[in-house]
Parts: sequence; structure tokens; C-alpha cells
Amino acid sequence: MVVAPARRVFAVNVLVLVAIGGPLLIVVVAVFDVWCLFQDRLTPGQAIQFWSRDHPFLGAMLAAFIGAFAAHIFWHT
Amino acid sequence: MTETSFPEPAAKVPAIEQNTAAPNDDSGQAPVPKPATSRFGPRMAAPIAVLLLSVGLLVASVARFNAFSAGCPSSFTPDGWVTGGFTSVVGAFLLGGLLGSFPHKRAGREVASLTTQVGLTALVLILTVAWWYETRAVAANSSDILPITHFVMCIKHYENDWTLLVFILAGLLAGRWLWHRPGAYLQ
Repeated sequence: MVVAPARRVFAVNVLVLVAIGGPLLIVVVAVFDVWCLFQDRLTPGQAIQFWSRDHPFLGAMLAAFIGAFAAHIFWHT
Repeated sequence: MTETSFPEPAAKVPAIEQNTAAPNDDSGQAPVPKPATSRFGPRMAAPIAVLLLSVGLLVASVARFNAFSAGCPSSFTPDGWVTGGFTSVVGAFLLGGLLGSFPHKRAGREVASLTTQVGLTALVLILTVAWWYETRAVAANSSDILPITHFVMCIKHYENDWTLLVFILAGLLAGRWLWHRPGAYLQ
């Protein structure tokens, strides 16, 4: 019986984790957002909007990090 | 000397739907919450659409990568010019910023700002650890330890359009949260 090397199995598991983790994170945020709206509470997005308004430089740095990450991933053919 | 008159700030703030009676209501009666059915309105449309779309993405990613066994390419060649994918993500971020100017109410600000500070500090801590691992993996330049972005680019290699959709959704959210345009009313 042929058994895949442990290193390859680990790499595939991490790949599956990353592939499912991104959409899962968005689902968690979306569910929490709808729940907050239904409960008439401040949503996480609104809370971060207030923080971003009070700390524009830090908000810009965080946005730049996200932009750099997107460029790193999508600046390929 | 002529006094300059300014319009009342309250008159500039658009009317905001309140779920309970006003806090300064001195009628002595307890606030009456609205029935649950009235909480659904146009403001719920976009979050529910994002929720349904993200659930679809999650199901698709589980179906596609649950039994994934193919290997990743050994290297990814960078493009010489700005790609359409990157432009789409940046465009989604800017569109999210436009959506972020909608008025919303301010409630429980002190607790929310403490929670926000703690949450963002935890996020930056996670990013720092991830960045440390990324740097270590890139510096090692070995197949023993692969960077996290290598896996993301591998996923993009196999599912380019779905990966782009995930990044566009994330860009919309990030733009709406981080890019608060001047002139928007906060209450």
C-alpha cells in the first residue's frame, strides 16, 4: 500500500484549511452582522468605522496592509 | 456686530430609525421594543445578501477542496503589469468606502470602542505571528516550510474566479469599515 508522505499530507491539510477558512471567516462576520442588526446593536463594521474615524492613520495603515496582501496574491498571471 | 447663525446640528442629521423610545423621553414609561417582524427592512437587504453569498462560497469551497489531492506549482510568475484581479479588489475596496458613508446611529459607544480596541489589537497580534511565519518561510526557501501566501496562490491557481470573488467580498467589507469619507453623519 502506497502511503503519502507526512509532509505532503500536512501541506494538503493546510491548503484545505486556507481554502475553507477564508469563506468561513466571511460567513462568521456576515452572521454576526445580521444578528447585531436584528438585535439593534452596533455591528462590528460600525464599531470599526468609529475607530477608523478616530484613528485615520492607523486605519490607513491597515487598509494599506490589505492592499499589499491583495497585490501580492493577484499580481500573477 | 452681527452674530453668525449656524443651522442646528440635529437638523442636518438624517432621520434614523429607532428601535426603542428616545433616551431622553421623560414620560416615565419604559421603552417599548418593536416587534421582531418590523426589524426586517431595507437596511437588512445588503447584509443578508452578503450572508447568502458567503454561505454559497463556503459550500463551494468545501465541495471543491475537501478531497483535494493535486499538488501546487513550484513557483508563481509575477505579472509585469497591473492585473485585472488586483484592480477588481481595489475597486471593491473603493466601492465599500462609498457604501460606508451611509448614516448610522451611535449606541453604547464606550463599550464598543473598548471591544473594538481589544479586537483590533488581537487582529494585529495574529497578523504579526502570521507575518513572522511568512518571513521565516520565505527566507528558508525550502519545501519543508511553505509560506501561507503560497497556499493562497495555489488555491487561486486552481480556482481563480472563486478566489477573486472571496477577495472582492473582503475588499468591500474592508472598504466599508476602514474608509470613512468626510462629511458622513455619525450619530
